[in-house]
Amino acid sequence: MGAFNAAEALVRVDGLSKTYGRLHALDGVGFSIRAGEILGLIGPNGAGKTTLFECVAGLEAADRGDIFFGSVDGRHRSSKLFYVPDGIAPWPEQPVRWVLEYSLGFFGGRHEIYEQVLDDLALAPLMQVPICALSKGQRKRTLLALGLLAPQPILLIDEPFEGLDLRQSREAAATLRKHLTPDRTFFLSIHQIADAAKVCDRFVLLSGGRVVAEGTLDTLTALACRRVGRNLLEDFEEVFLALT
Amino acid sequence: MSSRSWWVMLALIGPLVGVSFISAVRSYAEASGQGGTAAGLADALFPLDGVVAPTFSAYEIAASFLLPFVAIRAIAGDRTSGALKLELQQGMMPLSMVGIKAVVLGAGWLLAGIPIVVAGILWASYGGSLYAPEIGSLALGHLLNAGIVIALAAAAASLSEHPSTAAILVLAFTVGTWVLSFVAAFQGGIWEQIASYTPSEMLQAFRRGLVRLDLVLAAFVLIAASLVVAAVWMRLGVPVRRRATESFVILCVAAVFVFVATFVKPSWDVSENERNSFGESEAVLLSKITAPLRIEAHLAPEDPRRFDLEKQTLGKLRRTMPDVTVEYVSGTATGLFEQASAHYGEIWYDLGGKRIVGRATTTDGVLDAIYELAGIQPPQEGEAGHRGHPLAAQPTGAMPVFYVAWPLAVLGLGLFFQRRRFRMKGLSRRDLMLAAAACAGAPLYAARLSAAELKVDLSSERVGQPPTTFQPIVGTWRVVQDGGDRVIMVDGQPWKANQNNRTALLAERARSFYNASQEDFIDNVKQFAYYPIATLNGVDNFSNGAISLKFKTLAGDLDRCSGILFNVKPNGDWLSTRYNDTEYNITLWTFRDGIRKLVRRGPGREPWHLARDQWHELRMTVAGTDFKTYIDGQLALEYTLPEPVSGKIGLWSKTDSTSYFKDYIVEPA
Repeated sequence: MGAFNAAEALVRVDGLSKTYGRLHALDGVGFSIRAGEILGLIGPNGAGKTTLFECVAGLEAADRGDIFFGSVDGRHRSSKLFYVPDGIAPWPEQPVRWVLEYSLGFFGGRHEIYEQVLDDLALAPLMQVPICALSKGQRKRTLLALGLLAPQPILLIDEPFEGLDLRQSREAAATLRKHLTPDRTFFLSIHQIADAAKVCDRFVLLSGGRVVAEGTLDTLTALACRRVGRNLLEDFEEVFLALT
Repeated sequence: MSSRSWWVMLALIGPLVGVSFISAVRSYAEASGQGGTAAGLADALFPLDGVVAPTFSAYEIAASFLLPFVAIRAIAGDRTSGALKLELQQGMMPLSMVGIKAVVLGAGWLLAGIPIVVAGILWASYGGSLYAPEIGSLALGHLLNAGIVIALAAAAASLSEHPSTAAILVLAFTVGTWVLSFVAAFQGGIWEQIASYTPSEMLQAFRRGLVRLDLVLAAFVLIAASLVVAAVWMRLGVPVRRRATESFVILCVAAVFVFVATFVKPSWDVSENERNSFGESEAVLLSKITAPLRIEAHLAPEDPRRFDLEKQTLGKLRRTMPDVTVEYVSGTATGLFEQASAHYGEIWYDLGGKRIVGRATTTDGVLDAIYELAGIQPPQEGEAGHRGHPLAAQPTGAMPVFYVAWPLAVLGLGLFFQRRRFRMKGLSRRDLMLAAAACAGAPLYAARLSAAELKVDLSSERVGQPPTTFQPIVGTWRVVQDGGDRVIMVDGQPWKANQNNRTALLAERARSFYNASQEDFIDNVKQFAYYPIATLNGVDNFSNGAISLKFKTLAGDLDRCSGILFNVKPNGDWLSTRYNDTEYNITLWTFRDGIRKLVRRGPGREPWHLARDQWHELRMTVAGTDFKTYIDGQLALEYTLPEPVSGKIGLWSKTDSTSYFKDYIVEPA
């Protein structure tokens, strides 16, 4: 794991483990999230990314380990972080407008950026469409909007580009960058290495339920080069394969 | 409003209430003397037993088989859609979330109570009696029952991974309580006591107009415990083992509270005839007996005497005396093989150490034993009983209201509130509004098609033109103004002018009406043209019921006839019943195969010398082959037809008669 200034860590995960029967979904996972960064959780399918997110968000009970928000434990997480799961269709009978406005009211969201988020994610034509009638990509953009409008400073998004085409993925990445502020931090779970490399500041590599590396692209590249004994500059996929 | 399952439940509850209400009213009418019941029986009838409770029973069915699915969908829907994962991050306590959903579901259930209100209004319109406290007791019982169902469904939905599993759990609980009641019926003892706190058994007390505080408290404990369990299992981030432990603790605490509630005594008899209480003088005497009374009844659980003893006497005794203990002793379930036992059938009374044995299970017998033990004189005079409210009324109008109007209104409203969803499927808002408007108007249309009365409305007819509500076939028919009314006139003058060329009197549409294949009609046109007729549009087949109209005779040299046309066949055959102002009689005529024949003439008498230029009512009734004609409400003709009638109906006249017609009413049976 790369060195970090613990004083800057918004969230610190320490020794998190979760077992489903004989399957060790998470095994002693530890990392930190810093203020104002986009942290990418990278790993192959079945690495434990969603399980880790749900444990951090408090929607799944970990067997062991601790989660600290600043200097306090995870009991106050509802005011610190907001988790946007992948593959959900909340309130399917309701239109997009209702879902976003209800969420703004229910979560006490960021009204001041409502119109901007709608514009950034091109949701205006979809406002009267029920959630159940949206395509996969349209639903993902709606969920991204829901997350961006949440009041919490730390936003966890599981697979933010899933279902989006190339142009939409780039626009979504640009939108995330646009809304990144010193008091806004993103933690993204991405299985597409290329997408992760373009949008994230730092990475946590997860494989087989364990963190195999944590750091910036340069840090991970150097680590991978040492491990394989050759130059892997600007090839994050090779870096990822070398480390996992 | 977005829950389709709620709309489905709402649509179904109308017909459910309708079936219960209509059958209850009919049964009540029969018991009230419609079928010749003795007056004594009718005087004992109270609407609570005969109409109100049976009508409310529809809600028990709905609460058992419809409401759970609505509640499960509302709770589990968030879990399956993923909305729960978002909602849990808001920081709101899961108990608050469950509570809010339960309140919303309860409000939706209250809305589903509208058909009951409609039933009450109909019953009152028939002249039926309603006693508000009894209705309040029933409503409270069913509301508590619904609350228990909603809370249990919430718990099942939170506990299960899938809504179908939750549905199975809830149904298993419902069936389990029925099994418990069944076992209690023949086992008695502790089973009977436990079964008395199941939702279906709780309702029994409320049905009798008895509000028991112990039942209300037990219901609240069940509701609260179930909602707390639902909230516990909604906490996805808590380990399963811990949630299971917490649920077990909650259930144990709830069981303790319910046990404590069983010792709560206060109850209120809100029935109109105070069926759950002794008379005032007896109640005063019994309440003064402060010594503990112990009753040991040697009767088996399925012995009918035990049921009567419990329902007629011991229940009232527990409410009246401060310290009463009842124990049932038997070796078998039915008592059939205990009859020879020494003590079977005996009732042992122990009052403050004094004992007496009796066998009477009647109220008087039990009270006499208690008075003897207490050493007090029974009341000298009996108290006047409560008179019942018999009512021999038919559920008029109930069928179209509950079976047609209610489901269509719910459908229309449901479409309106789901307009966004349907807009995306190609239906515009205009389409939906039209559909809703059609549904709003459907009751009127439905009234025309159902067994309800149809009254022909002439207000939209154009004066001077042929009517659109009737199809003129023969003769000259047009709409005229008569004072403030628009009426239909058959004008005999053109007939008189064309009496040598009667084919000219046939309406142009007559042939197309009877189609070209009906050559019989063409061959018999001369005869046919003697009788101006117009058929009613929209009624293609009348076979049983009543038809009435108002007529006014104006002129005619050959005839001055006004009649009702019926049994019109495609080949031009018909029947008519008419009044003739030249003969002053009422007759039934048949026109068959081109020949008109007299079927029956009513007795001619002075009252049939009707005043001309005044309105009179002509009415006919058909029940199978039983035919009658009435003039101004008086029976004028009776006849047994050779076969039932069918086919179109309308207006009839003869030759040069000039008459006015209005208020044409069809009442199918």
